[in-house]
Amino acid sequence: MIQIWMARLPERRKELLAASGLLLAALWYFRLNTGNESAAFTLIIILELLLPLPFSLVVAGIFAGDPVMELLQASPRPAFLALAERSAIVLGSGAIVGAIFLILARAWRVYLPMNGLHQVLIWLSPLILLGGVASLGSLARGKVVDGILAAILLWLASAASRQVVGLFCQDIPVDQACSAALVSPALTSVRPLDPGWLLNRLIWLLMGLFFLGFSTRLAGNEERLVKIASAETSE
Amino acid sequence: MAKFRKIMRLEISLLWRRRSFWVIQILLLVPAAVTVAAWFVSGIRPPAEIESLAISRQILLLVLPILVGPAITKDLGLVGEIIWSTPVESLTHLAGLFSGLWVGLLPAVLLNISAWFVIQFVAHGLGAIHVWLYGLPIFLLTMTVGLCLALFLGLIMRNVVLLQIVWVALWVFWTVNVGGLDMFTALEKRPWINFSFHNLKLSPSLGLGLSQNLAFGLGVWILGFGLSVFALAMLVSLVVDRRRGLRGWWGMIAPALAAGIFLAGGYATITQAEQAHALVPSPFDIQADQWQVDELSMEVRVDPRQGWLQGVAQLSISNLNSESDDRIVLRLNPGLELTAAQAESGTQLEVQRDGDSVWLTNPAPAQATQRLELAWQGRLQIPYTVYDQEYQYYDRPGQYYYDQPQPARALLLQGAGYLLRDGDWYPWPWISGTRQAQTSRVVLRTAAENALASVPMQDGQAVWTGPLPAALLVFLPNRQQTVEHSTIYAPRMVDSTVLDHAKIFTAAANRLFPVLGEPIPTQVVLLPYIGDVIWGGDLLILPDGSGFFRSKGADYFFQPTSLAEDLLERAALTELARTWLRERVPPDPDPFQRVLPEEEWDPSFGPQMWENQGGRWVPPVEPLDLKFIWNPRRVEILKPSGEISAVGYWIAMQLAGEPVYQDDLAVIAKVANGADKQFRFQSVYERAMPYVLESTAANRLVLRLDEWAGVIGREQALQMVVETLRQERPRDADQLFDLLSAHSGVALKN
Repeated sequence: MIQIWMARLPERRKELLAASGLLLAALWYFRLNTGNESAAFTLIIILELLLPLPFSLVVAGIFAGDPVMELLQASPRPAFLALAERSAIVLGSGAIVGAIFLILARAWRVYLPMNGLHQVLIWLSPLILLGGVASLGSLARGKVVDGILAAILLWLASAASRQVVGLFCQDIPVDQACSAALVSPALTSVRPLDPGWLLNRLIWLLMGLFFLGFSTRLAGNEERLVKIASAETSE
Repeated sequence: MAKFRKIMRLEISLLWRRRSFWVIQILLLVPAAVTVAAWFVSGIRPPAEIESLAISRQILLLVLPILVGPAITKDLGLVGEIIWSTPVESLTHLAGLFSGLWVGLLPAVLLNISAWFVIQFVAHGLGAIHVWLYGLPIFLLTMTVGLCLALFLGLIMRNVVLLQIVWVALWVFWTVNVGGLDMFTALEKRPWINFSFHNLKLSPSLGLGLSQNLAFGLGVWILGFGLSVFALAMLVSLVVDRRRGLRGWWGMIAPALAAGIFLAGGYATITQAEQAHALVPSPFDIQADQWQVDELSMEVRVDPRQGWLQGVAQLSISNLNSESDDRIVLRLNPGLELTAAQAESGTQLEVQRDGDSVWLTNPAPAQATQRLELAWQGRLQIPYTVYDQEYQYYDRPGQYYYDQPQPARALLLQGAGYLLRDGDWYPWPWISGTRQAQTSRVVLRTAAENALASVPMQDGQAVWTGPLPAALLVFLPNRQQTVEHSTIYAPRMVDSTVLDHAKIFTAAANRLFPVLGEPIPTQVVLLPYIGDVIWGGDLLILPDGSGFFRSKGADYFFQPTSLAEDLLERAALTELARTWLRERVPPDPDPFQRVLPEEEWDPSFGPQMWENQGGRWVPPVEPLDLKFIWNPRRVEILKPSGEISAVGYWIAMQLAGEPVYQDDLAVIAKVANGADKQFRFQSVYERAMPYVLESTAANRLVLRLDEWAGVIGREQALQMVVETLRQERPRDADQLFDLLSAHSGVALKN
């Protein structure tokens, strides 16, 4: 199963492994802190802020250094399909890691402020968003570093937006809607009980899907793909 | 050398030609831009600190692989093989690459520091020079170690994506472990991995001040770490890039040797600095409030430049316990050595140092009174964390941890400092009140020209007889200006916000002290590492803004604020009135009374807590506005009293302008009638009222006092309250109210 999974990702396996390793370390850190009062908060920070970044960095370099790129270009299999498939593998791996966190958190009696599918949206929404931005960034000019930079920029902005939400919503009770909360892709770590939380998740999820969709469209430009595949580091 | 220069120039030009390099320059300026935008929107000036640069440093570190990764990995691929068909040797290649990237990154650093310098200069004036003095070396050090690490990891990872993922992992680990952007974790907490000097708090008076040796050691350590990683990168480069070789082994050994020297030097300096500023525990039995000092005769010679002091004293002490004790515990700074101790009979007493105290054998346990002759000398040992704490005059219960150092009441550092009455620079039994003997004579001698005492000095000598003021001797900062009848002495680098607020304090003191029947303090001095306002007769001491915490009452004055000046003036009057009251209120006769039943104890203050912490630290002994107790193992229970704050605030209200008085009264009445928590918190914060007024009990106290004043007339009421406090020194609000009822003939009940 894993072999089939990995066969679809000829390059970037080490990167995917490193991203999973980072999350494994985070899992260990979380396990050490499950007895603390702030365990749920730690879990939210890991899921919402830490998990999406490394996987989105892998997405940024999805075509880079690909030795079969020329074959791909020559083959009847369209590049956008390869991009979609590989993105799904990388982001799917992130999703599996996220799911493992949720299962283990339940086993370790750490309870999140939301239930069921909503728990999945804590990390799925920023994961898709960052992945979409990274993919679009690297395909826009055919440069991997652009994708990495775009993902990191958005990630920093997400982290900073927590302060903005804190500032603008400080006078509004946590269970009442604060319109400023909509701007933050990291809303769960600031106002998990905000009535606008679900809307916030859906907005960012849809935006992420849009970016991913748009980047598959860009994948049709062969020149971009060749640039990425042949010289991932040059500009 | 020519090859080295060529590689360096090539790397610089490649770096500067990349679009992402310039995008990141803009990104690094975002925190500065946000600060300016927030300044324009809110009208509140950004705080004067170089810590703002820490955010830019952290962003730079996070994105470093994007900047330098392509340069490091480009030679390892196909293109590299073509370029280096005649490969240069490893040291020249890596040194050239490193230098090129280092110089190439300079615009990022200089642009950032320039932006912060302009912001700080416009907001705070001359103190902005700290941004260059300390910000530049720190930024360069951070960049150096980051670059070395990126070089090493880049050679192993061989591609930018993998490098960036591993880098994110390291960055998150590092951020979590140095406290992230937590502003309340001092530099010394994690010196070994604090590569960005996170939470380096500068003192306007002393610059690096207490942290000087630590910061220097950290700098050397970081350089050593960077060099050792560079040496490792060289080793790795030989493995991963077999086209290269070394001209000689010295090329490998030289960086490793230099790294070793720097690492050892840094390690030794940090360890030495930590020892010199270690927080030492107290003895298990400190004999708290067991001894009363009847007589004190003391002479101390002080050299602030060397940080040295030497003293002799005769102390007559009485045992207040019915049981005799064969030992006497005296508190004395761990940096000072008790060189001689003898009884009145001339018998030499055995002396044993135990943490922050010394034990003497009791020369005559059967006698209630002992007369001791003591001599001591040394340099003061001040813990780093002394300015990392909330201290006594915090006017509502706080977390007083057991490893919390006593507040700094004596400091001799770089020619500056102070000796205050309640400091541990001379031996004294552990007490919960102020250090006051029934009769005392104190002589302080110094050759320092910048010395100023709370009594006139003659030939470098100051003599006090009778009750001692809270401030004895200070060593003045270098800038002075006159406000009304007082002269303000402030360090040249002081933040303009602090200086502006010091003027408000001085003007308030000029108004308040004549009303209180006290002389106006003519010398107002801003000093480092003090968290509170200290009134010592002619001397009024204000914090210069060093450190993290100030007393909550004074906190408004040490950071930029949008508060109106009349509210600030009332806040200053409140703080000064409280300071005066603290000197008037007699010590609690029974400070060890249990104020809460055991079942109501907060478990976090329970035995488990002090067992976990070793149970060997004494919490700060001076929270006069809070009643507190210790059991023999020093379990502390805090009960909000707030009476000093409430009475001080009422006095300040009377002197404030009519609009402030009426608005304050409306808030107090609403809180006393049971306003919700949010209103209480917000109104107290927005109007710079004492925090204790969030509690309805303190509000009712103010309200009762004001109703009573309304009946007899506010002016007369103020006079009567002040006279009663001066002459009869009531112990608490109940006693004050009884006395006022008796004097005025109008009933006043708390």
